[in-house]
This record gives sequence, structure tokens and C-alpha cells, in this order.
Amino acid sequence: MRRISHALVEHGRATEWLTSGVLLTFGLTLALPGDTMAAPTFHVLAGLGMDDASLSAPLTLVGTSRLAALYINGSWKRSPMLRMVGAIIGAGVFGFLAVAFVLPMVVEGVPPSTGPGTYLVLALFDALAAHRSGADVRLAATPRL
Amino acid sequence: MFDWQQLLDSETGQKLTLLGTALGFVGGAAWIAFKGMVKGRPTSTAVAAAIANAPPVCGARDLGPVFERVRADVAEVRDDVQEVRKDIEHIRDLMIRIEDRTRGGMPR
Repeated sequence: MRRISHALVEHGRATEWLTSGVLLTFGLTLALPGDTMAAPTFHVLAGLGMDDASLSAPLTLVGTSRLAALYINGSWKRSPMLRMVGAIIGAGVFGFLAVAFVLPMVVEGVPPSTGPGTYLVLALFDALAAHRSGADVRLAATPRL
Repeated sequence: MFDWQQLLDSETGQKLTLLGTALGFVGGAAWIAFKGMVKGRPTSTAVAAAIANAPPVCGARDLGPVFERVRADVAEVRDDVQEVRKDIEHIRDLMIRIEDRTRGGMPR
């Protein structure tokens, strides 16, 4: 338990844990029984031919990989690279979701929802995580004193 | 002038918008990650070199002796801990020997 709490806050990677956790939770929520994509807020994504399974599986995989990379960080030399790739994918996914939820507002004039802003902030923080993990990739490749 | 509303009204336009945004975010994040890789975070060697090469006005050079003093203190504490560990080992050996001698010899 102490190791997990230490891993959460060490080296200021808490925001990476946050965005990875949101990604995993999003994937797991779609995996729950019931057709989430049938909800009116998701009709743009459903219109693209996406269903619960096609979104849930990759998001759960990416979220789990990122959390695993964060947990073992330092024990495996390539974990910063995995974190960096995960952060880039995360930024893309959250940006995509932000626009997917903003389109009904722009096109159909539906009332604003809290989704677009929230996902946009998450996308920006994943971009920040990409910068940080990119720096860690370089640091991992540099021999230390 | 380009009609954005017409583009967003069509299904193809919506798909292109979503795809373009996702790719834009991925490309932007990849660029930011690349910048992070190029710039990196300073290693202890780089920090030491930067302190050594800092202009005198900066005052960073004054940190050099402080770091040396801290390093010496840490080395001293480490030596002390090793001494204490050796003493503990020695006392443990003595205790075992005393225990071995008294076990058989003492009348019950």
C-alpha cells in the first residue's frame, strides 16, 4: 500500500496517473453491461460505426499499459518510452472525445455539456505528460554518475 | 468564404473533423514529446557542469562548496553507520559465544 502511494506522488507523476486512470475507467465503463453508445450524447461516435467493444478494448489496453509502466517505472529501462507513447495516444483519445462531444452542440444546438472542457483539459495534461516522459526517455538513456 | 457549418452538417465532414482533431492532438503531443526528448531533464553531471561554468554574478558557484560539504557529511554519516554495523555484528558474535558456553555448563 505504501509502495502504491509512493509511486503515485513520486517525481510529480500524479497527473500521469490521473489521465491513465481516467482512460482505463472510460474503457471499463464501456465494457459494463448495457449499450453506452446508444445514449444520445454518444451518437456522434455511434455514427462513426463505433460500438462499446471497439472503444473499450483499446482504451482498457492503453490505460492498463500506462498504469503498469508508471508502477514499474525505473525497474525497466523502456518504461519511460511506454509512458511517452501512452501519453501521446491519450492526448489523441481525449482530444477526439472533446470534439466528439462538442459537435452536437455546434451542429444541433444541444445545450452545453461538461464533457468537452473536461476532456480538453485531460488532453492538454496528457500532452504535458508526453513532454515529461519524453524527458525521462532521454534521462534513462543517459549514463548517471 | 468557406462554409464550416455546411462541412459540419455532413456526415463525412463530421468524420473528417473528428479524425483531423485526433490526428492533430496525436501529432501535437508527439511534437511536444520530441521537444521533451531533445531538451530532457538535467542530469547530476549537467547540473555540476552548469554550476562550474556559471558566471560569477549568478552566484551559483557559491553552491559548489556547499555541495562538497554536504557530500562530505553524507560520507561521514555512512562511515559511522558502517562502524555501528560492525560493532553490532561483533556484539552478536560475543553473545552467541557466551550463550554457547553457558548452555552446557550451568547446573539446572
